[in-house]
Amino acid sequence: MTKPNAGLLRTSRLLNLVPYLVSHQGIDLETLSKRFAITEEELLEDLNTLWMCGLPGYTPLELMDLAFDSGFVTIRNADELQNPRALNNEEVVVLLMGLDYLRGQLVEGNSDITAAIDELVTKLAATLKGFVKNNLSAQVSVSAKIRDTILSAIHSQSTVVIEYHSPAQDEISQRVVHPVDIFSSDDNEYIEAFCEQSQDYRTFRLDRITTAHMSESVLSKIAPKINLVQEKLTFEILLLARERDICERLHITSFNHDENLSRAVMVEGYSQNWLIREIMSLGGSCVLTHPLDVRERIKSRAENALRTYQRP
Amino acid sequence: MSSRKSERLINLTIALLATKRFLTKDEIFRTIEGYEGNAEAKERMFERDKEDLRSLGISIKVGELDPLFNDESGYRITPESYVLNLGELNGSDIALLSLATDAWRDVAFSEWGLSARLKLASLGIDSDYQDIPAIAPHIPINNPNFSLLVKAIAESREASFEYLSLEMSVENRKINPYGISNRYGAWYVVGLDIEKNSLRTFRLDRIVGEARVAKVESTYEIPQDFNVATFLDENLFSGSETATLLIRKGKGSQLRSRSNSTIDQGEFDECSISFSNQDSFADLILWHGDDVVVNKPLDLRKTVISRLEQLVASHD
Repeated sequence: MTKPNAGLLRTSRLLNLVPYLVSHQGIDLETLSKRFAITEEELLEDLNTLWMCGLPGYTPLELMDLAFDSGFVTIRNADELQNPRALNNEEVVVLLMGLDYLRGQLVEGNSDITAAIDELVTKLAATLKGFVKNNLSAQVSVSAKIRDTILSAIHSQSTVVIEYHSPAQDEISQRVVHPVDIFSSDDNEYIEAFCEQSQDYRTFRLDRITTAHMSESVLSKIAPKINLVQEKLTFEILLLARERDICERLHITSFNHDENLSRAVMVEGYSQNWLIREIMSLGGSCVLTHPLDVRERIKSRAENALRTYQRP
Repeated sequence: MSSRKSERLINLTIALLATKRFLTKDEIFRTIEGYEGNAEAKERMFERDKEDLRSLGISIKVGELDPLFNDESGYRITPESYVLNLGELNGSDIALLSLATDAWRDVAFSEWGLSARLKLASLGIDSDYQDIPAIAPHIPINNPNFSLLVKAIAESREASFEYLSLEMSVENRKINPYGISNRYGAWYVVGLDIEKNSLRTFRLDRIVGEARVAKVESTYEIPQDFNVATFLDENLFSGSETATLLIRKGKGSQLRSRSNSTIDQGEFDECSISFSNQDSFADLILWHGDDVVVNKPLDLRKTVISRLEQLVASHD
């Protein structure tokens, strides 16, 4: 199943353009091109193509009547194509998963909306062949409220008090931050914020923020953002077993399984604490060989943990 | 594809929608602009056009022209199959559906989100956001196999891919995909593993390269009571076994959020937590160093102790 080629996608867009024009008579070219996410040149090309289409006979009587010289588009004589097309499978899937996600974001007390969503899901699922409605699901891992608070803080350039679970320290800390950006990477969402406590920019994973409240306080000075390259630490790890887990957790992309010569890999990271916890967690499947002081810390942490088992 | 081809496809769609009876190929070639060349060339063009329209979700109905002389078939597109019809929709339905498409901005499927939104906006129903809470949905997914597998599920097609085993070797897997969902930042596809004949879960980022989706539709049926969210919850994380752990005060918030009961024990809290896979649960416990101690079950306790001993020995 290959993706429809560019030409077919354009044909699809042309077919969608007609009903949109019928229901938005007189729309200006700029707005229209933005809504369809194309350039004005592409739009003009589309309109010129549509202008040549119509019923057999292809005299002005049968052709669609499009006017766009003034910069505003009107359409007449497009009866056959005037209604929006049925949704295709992909569109139904997009809507189903989007609705499932919305449903998860609703707080209690929205039973009317939940019911409306369920009804829409049933209608949409019925249009797919051999499909039952609980197969596509998008779970919410980030609270809608926290996300909204962060977004509005970015827009209004204000300060937020967050509680953040830092996995490397395994601690929940309260921080006053000034968020500047929200972005996704590796299927997770992050915010970039100036953190008062560390007087520098930090990245926070959105689903690890446990609470977020707008704050009245204004940070006295926010340093301009400099893309400082944080110094990376390098560690050497010897792989013994469970290579997939180790590579995933330590973000190793270069490991070549066929290479039997050496099972040692170099790992880069920003946090020693994080690395020590990961090695502990993978306990027995890999060995940290360098640097020696970190190796020593792992040993003593494991010894400490063993001691807790020796207590009565 | 040239503009001419787009023109021909649109003209074909218009003509087949306008006709109240089936049109013969001959009529199509004679009246619709763009069919050129000898009979064979036209025939090829038409076959290709039908396939292209089908891939856009437009189905052409084939019927017999005359019941007395059923040697020639005709073609038309019924307006019922062509036109968007989700029954009665009000302004707040339109608002909800538009929000649902918003979730896909900047990710896989954003083009389908856009086209769905445009189709809905063409219904001429004003969206009504009055009763809908201000939420900004966002589904973060960047895996290139996501859209392929979703399509396979929607069309009941077999999917095959190369999957990274625990030892990093690559295995060929073939599944009848049932469902797809995400948990804690990772996406999973659940399907009937054809070789093993049992339901299996695969993490999307462990699929190597591009998944392949069968060209032909399969005949498999997804059980009516299958629910991907429930399946993942039951199989990935929570489980039938329960552990009693001591968790140091102020630590282990990840484990605490899964705890069914908490008893104050001074320096530690005693928490009971259910789990399914002993090895991965041991990973999580070890991650916490001396902040978490296993009391029960004995098996798990032994595993954790022996892995700690290995850690000490190998880092000596």
